[in-house]
Amino acid sequence: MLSLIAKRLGIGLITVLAVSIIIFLGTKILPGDAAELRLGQSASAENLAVLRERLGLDKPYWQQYLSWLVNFVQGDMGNSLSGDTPISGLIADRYQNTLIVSGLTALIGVPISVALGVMAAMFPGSTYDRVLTFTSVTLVAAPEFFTATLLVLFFVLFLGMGSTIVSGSTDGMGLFELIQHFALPITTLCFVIASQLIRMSRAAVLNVMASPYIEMAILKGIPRRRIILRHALLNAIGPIVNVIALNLAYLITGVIVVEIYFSYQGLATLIVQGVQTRDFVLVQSLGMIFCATYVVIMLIADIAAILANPRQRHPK
Amino acid sequence: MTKYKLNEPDFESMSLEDRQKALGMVSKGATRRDVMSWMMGLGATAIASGSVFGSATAAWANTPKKGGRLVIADDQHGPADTLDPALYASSNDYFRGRMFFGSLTRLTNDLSYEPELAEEVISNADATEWTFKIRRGVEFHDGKTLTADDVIYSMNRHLGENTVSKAKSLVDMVSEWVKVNDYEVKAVLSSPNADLPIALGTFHFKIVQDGATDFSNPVGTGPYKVAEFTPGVRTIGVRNENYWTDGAYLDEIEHFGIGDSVARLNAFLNGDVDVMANLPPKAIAKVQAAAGKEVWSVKSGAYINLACRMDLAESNNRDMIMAMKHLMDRERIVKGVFKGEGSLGNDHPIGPAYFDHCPDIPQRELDPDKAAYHFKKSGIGSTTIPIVASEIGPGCVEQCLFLQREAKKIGMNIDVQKVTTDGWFSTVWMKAPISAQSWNMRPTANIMMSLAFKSDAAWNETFHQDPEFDKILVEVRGVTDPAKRKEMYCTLQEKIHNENGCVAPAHRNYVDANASYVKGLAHVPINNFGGSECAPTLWRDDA
Amino acid sequence: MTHHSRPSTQEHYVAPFDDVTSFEELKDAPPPAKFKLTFMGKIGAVVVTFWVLIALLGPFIAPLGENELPFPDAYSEFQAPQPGAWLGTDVDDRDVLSRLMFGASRTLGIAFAATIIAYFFGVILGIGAIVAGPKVDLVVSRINDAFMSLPTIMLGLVVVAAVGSSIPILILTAGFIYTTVVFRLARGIGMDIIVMDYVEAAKVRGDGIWWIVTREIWPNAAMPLISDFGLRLIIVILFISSLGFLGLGVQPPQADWGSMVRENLGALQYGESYLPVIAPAVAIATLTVGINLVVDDISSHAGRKLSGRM
Repeated sequence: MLSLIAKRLGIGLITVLAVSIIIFLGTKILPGDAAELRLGQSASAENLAVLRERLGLDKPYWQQYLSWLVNFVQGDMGNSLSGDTPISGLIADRYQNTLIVSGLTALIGVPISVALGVMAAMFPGSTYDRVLTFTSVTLVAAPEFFTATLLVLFFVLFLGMGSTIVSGSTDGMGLFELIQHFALPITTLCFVIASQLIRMSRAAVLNVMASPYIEMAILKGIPRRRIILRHALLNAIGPIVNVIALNLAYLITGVIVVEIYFSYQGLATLIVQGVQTRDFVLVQSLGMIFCATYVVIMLIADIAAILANPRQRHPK
Repeated sequence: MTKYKLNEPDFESMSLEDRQKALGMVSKGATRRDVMSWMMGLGATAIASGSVFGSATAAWANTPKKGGRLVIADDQHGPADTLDPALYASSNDYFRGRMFFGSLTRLTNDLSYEPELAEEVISNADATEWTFKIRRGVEFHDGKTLTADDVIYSMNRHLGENTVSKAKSLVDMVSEWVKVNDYEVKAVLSSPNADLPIALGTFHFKIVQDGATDFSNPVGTGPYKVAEFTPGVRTIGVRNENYWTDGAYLDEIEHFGIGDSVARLNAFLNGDVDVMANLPPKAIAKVQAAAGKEVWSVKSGAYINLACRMDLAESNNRDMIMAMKHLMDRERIVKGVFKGEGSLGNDHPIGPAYFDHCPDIPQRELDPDKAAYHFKKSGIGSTTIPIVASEIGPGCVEQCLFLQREAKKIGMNIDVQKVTTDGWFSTVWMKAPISAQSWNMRPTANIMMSLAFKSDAAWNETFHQDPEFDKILVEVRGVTDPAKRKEMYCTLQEKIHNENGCVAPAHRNYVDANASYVKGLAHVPINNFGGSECAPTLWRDDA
Repeated sequence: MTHHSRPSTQEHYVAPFDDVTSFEELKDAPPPAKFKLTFMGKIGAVVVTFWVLIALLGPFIAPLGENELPFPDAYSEFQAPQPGAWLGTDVDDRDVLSRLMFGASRTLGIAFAATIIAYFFGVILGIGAIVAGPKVDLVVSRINDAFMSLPTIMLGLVVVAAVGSSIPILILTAGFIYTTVVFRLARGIGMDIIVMDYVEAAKVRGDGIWWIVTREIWPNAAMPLISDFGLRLIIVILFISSLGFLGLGVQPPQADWGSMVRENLGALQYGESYLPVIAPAVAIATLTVGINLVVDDISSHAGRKLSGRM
């Protein structure tokens, strides 16, 4: 089993390396280089040459790539184009916001959604199941900014609760205060991840229910609820954990619309700003961080799945 | 205590001592009855005493109170936000500038000026030498006293070949700043400029400390000190207890941008922000109807326009530009988009709100026939004309859509590419061949044209080159004969109207919104937030 | 599906690094069962057909052009429904109904084209990787993993911001991004099938690769792929509307449902009528629910057919 985990780890590392090459080449293909962008259109050829040399842009690509990668691993991501501020600082500030919001969303949204889905699987075809399935299908269809606006109108302008934007520092806030502070983005994101989590956990349990050994248990007359809680759930953990992992990754890297809508500054907003100001260095660093986050989360999910499912410990 | 024999004393005619006493009572929550019984004890009639209560209450209501905090939402921000006055490029920079810095002169609501960090401003007869006597005892946030060296350093940042200043063209007639003594400086001009003190009251000419190069946490003389500045996130200013004059009433100001107008409006209506920039005109009625919210509208010569770059082959086609000018449905923009909060534009920047506006140029109107004529002559045919637009101001995107609709009718293909406001000025503006712009009003016609229409101006967004225009623009600064001056300004406006790549369909008022408890608003018509001049005077009447 | 936009229900066909399969029983190729829609499935099919018809005919039967004004002399947005504008007017005084019809063809068109592209390349590469053997599979899979580990919206942003937004670019970008997802899905399914004993049996019989793919792999992979196809359409619609939120989607004044929701959001706040924003949102919702109802039927059918591998 350890060798299996080691193999996964290796695959993860290879993925990160592949991404680093893709990202590096990607930014080279785009028009303009960092020196041109920093100096603007009025730059003279000499100024450009000087800056290119200073930034190391005159070296061959493979040298640039290696020094970029080595610096990145050491935590030195260089300076941003626009403000000359260290990128690591820019990112650190916002990673915190992102982690708080995704963490809280996961903490609240994941257990509720999974529980709802498993309950639907307990009574397939019941009114509860149908209503839940229908609602979650409809939720899939709602663009995030639409959900957000409805929530704002309902909770804030109609009920007079909470705040339509998230501003101010979160230093020294307790868990409850944080939930209050980020209430609306968290609620919106819970809706976003809920629809899929509900459907997936329901499907995963039902899948297991269809397997021969469960059929056997049913034939033996064990109550359905007990079968699900005792047997089916354990075997459904693999797929469910996988979906949870995908959603966690989404929460850390994909919440651009919600971040912008509620005006709190997380990683996703930063990448939008980076792309719009053509700040390649910033975009490169963020791409790497996103990729690493994804790989780590999926790795954990894999290991959890392997531990949960004895069959996977011994592949054919 | 003065005994009043008059039957009808009013608040103004009372002695200072009694006025203060009345104010003091009101401020401590005295009722009408309290004030009346006190006044009648002094011998005044009931009617008079009642009126004093009213006046005292009104006076008290207009007396700034100290304390409280305001949250101000601008309409955009981004990683390019800066606190370096020479580099300011957008409204949100200007607002911060006023919080943290002072300038030699300050603009008033009627666009004249009054001295600020200069105590006195004196010019020679032909306006070629300006002397500024610097106010004594003004301290920077770090306790250092303001002297001529700081002023000279600050002003020199806008001079010379290598300056990065965005406003260098406003002062390019200044050949030298001379230190006369520690509290007096002199600007020596290469050509006359009667408007120099007004120019120096605009956004970029803030006084920084001698030798300052790092503007991440700058030291100024403004009413607020930098407590936090994170580009594209937020700025927090805390009261400068040593502010040299009245003002700096709030404990703290938080300032940031919310690019999405619906989200911004939600935040404002919900009370999450106390003041918001650029209220969408379509929401004016909603805000007027809301309890405790006010529309903060300032009439102005600000305008929206399309900027066609005349230095690029694809957009330098005079007939194409002329066709677009004739395709603008100006009426619809003013009535439909601005909801009447604006006026028709005439393809030049100098609207009726300017002193030097030329009323003699005929108003250009929607005229498909003339447009079709120029379109045919342009030889563009079915080639698509891309216009990049963003909601950087009300009407910016709509003007393009209206143009596109009219253009389609004569077979002209326009492609509107809408992008977000974040990063607009660093990535699209003056880069795209045709982009949709929103311009603030400037204090004078000359400043406006020097900034954005002079051939070598940093913000000459159409890249139009016209030496004759430049010559008149410089000459007129020294012209004192009103008839001659008017004629020259008309020529300038006519040149832009006919020759420039600036398609300007409408002027707009500045329409912001504030909660009713926000007082001390400014009404300088050169930018949102009362010309970004409100920071020193803002206060809360519920503080 | 990558993790960055809304994932679909088909994810569980793919184990995280899906080189693991498990089968206990020996089976012949399952017999083709006749596919029938349930009642709910029929409702879904009706809704989907309705929208497809609107998409095909909309631009021809719409009362007005998408940038035309129903009431050129009125300067008022978000008007309530009335003769001449049966769903009211939008933020720029245009006819909501006409825009909804134009939007149907654009929204469905983009989503369909992008999904076709994703499927074309995804399925060919995915099944090709398996057929070509472990070495090719390893390389292609790792490259695919690398792309999948980048947020879809970030990839979209970079590409669209770099080359400018136009409908072909949007289609290609979305097509490329979701190719990675379809690749994994197709490969996962193909992998499960290829180790099945009836395929092994075909190999033993000496049937050619083409025969194995078309006769053995494809018939079994088709159903899950088709049901994912429906969901992919919805995900592409949402992806394009997210880009639209950032100003990089379908360009005004062209209508698509996502951007209609976005540009008319103000109606909820200060409109005379909510319809300009509710109508396109309901359109997206009904299309999604319709597709899902059909897909649910297909997957339960596919589930029966593929019960051996679950």
